[in-house]
Amino acid sequence: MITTTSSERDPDTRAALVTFLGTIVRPGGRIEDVDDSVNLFDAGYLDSLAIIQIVTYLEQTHGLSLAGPGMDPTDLGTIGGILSMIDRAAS
Amino acid sequence: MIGRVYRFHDQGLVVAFAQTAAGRLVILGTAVMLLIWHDAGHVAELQLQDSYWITIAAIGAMFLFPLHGRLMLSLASFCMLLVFSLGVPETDFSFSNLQPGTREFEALLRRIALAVGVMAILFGTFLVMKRFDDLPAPVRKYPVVSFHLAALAGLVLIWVAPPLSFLLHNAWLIPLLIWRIGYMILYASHGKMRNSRFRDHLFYLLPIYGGGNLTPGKGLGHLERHEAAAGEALARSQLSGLRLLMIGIVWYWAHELMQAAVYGDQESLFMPLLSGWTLDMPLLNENMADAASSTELAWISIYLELFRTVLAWAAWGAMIIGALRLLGFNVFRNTYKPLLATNLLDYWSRINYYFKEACVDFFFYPTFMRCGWAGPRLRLFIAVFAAAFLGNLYYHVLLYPHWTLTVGWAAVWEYWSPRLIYCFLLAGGIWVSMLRQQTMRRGGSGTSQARLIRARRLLGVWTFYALIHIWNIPSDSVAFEDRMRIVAALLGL
Repeated sequence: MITTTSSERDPDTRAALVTFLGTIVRPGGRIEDVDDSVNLFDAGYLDSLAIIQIVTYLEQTHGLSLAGPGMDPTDLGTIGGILSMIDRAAS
Repeated sequence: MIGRVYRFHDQGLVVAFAQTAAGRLVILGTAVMLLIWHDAGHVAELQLQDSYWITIAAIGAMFLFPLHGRLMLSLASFCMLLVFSLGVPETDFSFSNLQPGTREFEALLRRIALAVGVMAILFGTFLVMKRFDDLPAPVRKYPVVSFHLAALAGLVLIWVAPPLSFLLHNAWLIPLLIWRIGYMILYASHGKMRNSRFRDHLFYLLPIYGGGNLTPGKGLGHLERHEAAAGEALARSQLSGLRLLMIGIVWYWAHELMQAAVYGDQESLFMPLLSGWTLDMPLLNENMADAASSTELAWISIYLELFRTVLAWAAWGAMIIGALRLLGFNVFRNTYKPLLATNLLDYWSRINYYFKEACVDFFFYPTFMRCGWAGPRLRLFIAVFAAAFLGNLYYHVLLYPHWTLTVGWAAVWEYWSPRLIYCFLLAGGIWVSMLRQQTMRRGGSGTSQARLIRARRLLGVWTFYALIHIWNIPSDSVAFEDRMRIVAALLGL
């Protein structure tokens, strides 16, 4: 569930995330202008290989632990979802 | 012009027309004709499904009652269960014979009991999942594993307890339902179950769009993300569904033409048109010994088998996903240009997308998430082998539970041991492919489109999958010695 709006978020965190996602999108994909609510997997920007890189990024850069029950990998499909996860971990 | 016709489902005028009453009628009529053709053309043989008339009825009902789509779908699923359970009456069947104590009466009671039992299992699991948060902590932590253990324990119980052994004949329900129920459990474990109704789940638990033991469209979580309820989105979904059914026919024809022209299959619909002309090549699936008679023939045979398999999967998946899109779920295709894949991982995703997704959802993600203690390469290795090796093998062993329990372990080992090699090679190949993809992306060479490099990669992918398919062919049609013989022939030995 997304609990924080884009305007409330740390713009540096978002910028860093978008830069990282830009390195793992499918060839030809540009996500700089993609809305936070767009599912990047459904829209064809990312494939299932990408999700493990997102998990590794969140674990290594933000110290998140995603091993608990109830974790839905599709939550990592939107920029907003990932930022919410980072926000929740930070709080 | 040809491009515009080929992509008719994207044309603005066509999409606008599809939203009018006349357009909807045209879509419905065309869909009915295509699905009837699929039935009459025996494409359904590739689909493990007897008939499409319930699908046709459901599509019609959804056109008439668009605001009650899920209800219509679930009613259709329930009807399918009833029809399937009651079966087609045997030739000597008559209702006048249906007296208590007769064979027909007992058979009818057993079939009704089967339908009631299936509904009880599905509804009972649904009720339990509605209270997911109240389940014991270990079950909440490993919900799918717990369910599989319970199902397998139930299977063993009816195997060892003579009063229940009559239920063993219904063990085929396990592979049919276990993965679909698994998707309902995943949905519950993600905290989404509280507001859903049974009708939201029944239509994919007993899908009228087919799929057999595989799970095209996955579960509710995936389907509702791709649901096109009304308006332009629904029109686009239905138009792309029509297009996919047409593509399915083309792939089916290509498959039949190959069967006739290359293999001399007498049952192919193209055989009479070719007046008996055929290359008469040995079919690897049935006659591996002949294919191993020379190095050249061995190589040609394994590539031809790869193309034949791709055509069969493409025709099969196009029908199912085409029907799903007509029902308003604009999901990805099951098979999408696998022969254009330039790496092993991409081919695995493209040839049978929803099987790969099941391996990923039930084995890869859970393993990867719990292996944070391992280094990146080891973590990937464990997760890939959990999915492509262990999960793949488990899925297939589970296909024939009645047979597995009754023939003895020696026969089970003889049947599945070649697949052990196939799954091991597949998992190893995918792991290496994933590592290569990661390295290439970091190095920024992922977009290389040089024709020669691309052609080399395509050939490499074809060769890998053609070679490992030798170990994927069931043991009841090919002996172990024949597999070794063709490997030797390929190596020129």
